Amino acid sequence: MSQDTKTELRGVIRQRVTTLPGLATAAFVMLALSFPYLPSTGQFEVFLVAQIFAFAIAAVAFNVLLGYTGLLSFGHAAFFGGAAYAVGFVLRYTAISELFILLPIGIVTAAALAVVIGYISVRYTEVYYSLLMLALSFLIYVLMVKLYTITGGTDGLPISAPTVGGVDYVALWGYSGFLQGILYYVIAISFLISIGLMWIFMNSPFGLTLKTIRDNPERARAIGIPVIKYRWYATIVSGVFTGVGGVMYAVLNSHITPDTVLHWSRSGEFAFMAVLGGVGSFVGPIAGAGAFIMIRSQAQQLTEYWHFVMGAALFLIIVLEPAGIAGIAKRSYRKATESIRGDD
Amino acid sequence: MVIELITQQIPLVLNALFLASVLFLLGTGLSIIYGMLNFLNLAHAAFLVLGAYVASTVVTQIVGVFGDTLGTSGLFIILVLGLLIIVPFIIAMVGLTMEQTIFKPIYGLEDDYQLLATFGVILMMEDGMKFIWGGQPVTASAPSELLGSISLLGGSTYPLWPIFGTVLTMVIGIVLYYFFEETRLGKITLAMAEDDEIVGVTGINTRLVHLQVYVIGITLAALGGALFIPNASMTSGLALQFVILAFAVLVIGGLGSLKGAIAASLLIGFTRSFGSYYIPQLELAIVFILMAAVMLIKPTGLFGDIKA
Repeated sequence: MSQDTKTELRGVIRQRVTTLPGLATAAFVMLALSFPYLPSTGQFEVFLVAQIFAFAIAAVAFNVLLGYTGLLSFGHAAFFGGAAYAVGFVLRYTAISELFILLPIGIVTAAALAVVIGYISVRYTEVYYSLLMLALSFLIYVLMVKLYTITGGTDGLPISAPTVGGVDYVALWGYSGFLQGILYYVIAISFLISIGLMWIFMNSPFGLTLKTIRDNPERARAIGIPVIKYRWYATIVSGVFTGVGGVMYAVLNSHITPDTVLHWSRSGEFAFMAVLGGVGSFVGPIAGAGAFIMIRSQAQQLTEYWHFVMGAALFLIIVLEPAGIAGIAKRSYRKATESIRGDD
Repeated sequence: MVIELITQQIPLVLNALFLASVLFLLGTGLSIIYGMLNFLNLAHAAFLVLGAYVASTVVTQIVGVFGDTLGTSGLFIILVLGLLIIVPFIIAMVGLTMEQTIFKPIYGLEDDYQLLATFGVILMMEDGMKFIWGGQPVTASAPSELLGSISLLGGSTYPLWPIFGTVLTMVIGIVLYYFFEETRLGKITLAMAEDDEIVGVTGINTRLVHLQVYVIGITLAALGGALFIPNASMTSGLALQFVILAFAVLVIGGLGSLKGAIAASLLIGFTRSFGSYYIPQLELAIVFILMAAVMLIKPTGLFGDIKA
């Protein structure tokens, strides 16, 4: 890299960082990294935020398909749960318990599933894509439930706390020390890296091609874009990062069952998070995942019929505010700037 | 030896036919509503579960009021009237209320968003049913017990209710066929599936037709539930499984095809019935493999001609 491009790059970075979104991102990263040591943070809050990060990875990955490619997948639980189960199997059947080995294994599993399931599903669009994803992911769910001698059936698999970099922190610091000091940071950093990578993907020619396909598949085909192939790639990218979320979920919750990670209502929840946050926005689904987990944890404390609350929330968001939280934020931002200008 | 093998299959075949009947009632309703009204209702299968719950309550009430005072045949007739008239009526009322309040605002949305919004509706309906009927499985075996059973070849007995249900479904299928092919309303519906604006221009009240078709669709699902419950038990959690089975019927049979729905229900019914006997681990899995295979080989479904 020449001196010239280096300064240019620095300029670009400086320019980007000093804009409002740049500053917000920087503030968000600082807050995320210092969160466990803020004075009012307890173990429960750390767990909750780590949970949000794990789901946010999956929700943003889900939105790569829904928001950028225009495909509604009802089968993302297969990638999420597939990666989680890969971790579970390795822990159960081998002596490996190192997070930095488990994570790649989970990712590769999710990628393999996405390659196969995606290859079949992308021949269709719209509802048929959704249904084919649904059927194929349900197949994996059924296999995990029925082949219980291998998979633990509906009881699922325990996920013992892994070693990180060869050190067994649970033995050293106890579980709460491990959660606050290590696991939270592993999840937060995975979250930041995943989001960063997806941001780069979506703003590269690859992401722009996906948008072209979403907006007008016929025209995209006419200018020589292999539409089906690109939809397949998008499914794989989305599946891989959903798998990262799945591994994080498994390690954080220390137990997985087919119903918690593989059931198709999990796929519906990713869709929920994306829509709640706003499918038209890259960062929207992060807010969506946060709001989803918060609403759910409140609803669960209030009533045993929290599914009803979630269903009503999803329904109302789609009917009343299809652009989600991002849409509300954008509108109030515009109103605020307008009123400031009006005062001048 | 050979005879024994054949007699062993008879209950399986009867089970398959009964399961196919329930699936047919479920899938046709979904197919009609999607094909003719262009409304993709993921929550359709919840009406089957709702029908089953309402049927169980109706049966319990009837048995409680009349007890043995009527004699078995009188009681049986009342039960059947309850299942065939009271249950569909209640479901139709509930369905119409939901149509006005919940479904109407989402008709204009794209299919994707209809799927998501009705996913929310499933969650609400599931918990609503759990609230009313509790989390325990419910059943209503009185009609099946009153109808008794027959002895099959080879000395085993088989309840008559599934056979009754199968015959009844056949009748309903014929009536439906007649309805769409011969009646005025049926023809208007078919025309509306093609272009409802033009139909509206000719002075037909399309909204009314829409409501009628919608009620027929959900009532069919509710009937499926009412036929299902005397021979099985129902929990609100089963709604999600029926959702997928309903779409399997739709996809395998082909959109908007009555013939397709029949063929698909039979295919799934036989697969599940024999599958659960011979390879219980994989019976549900086979249904989904079947569904994926049909979509790959013939995307329009077995009898459909609308391309995905």
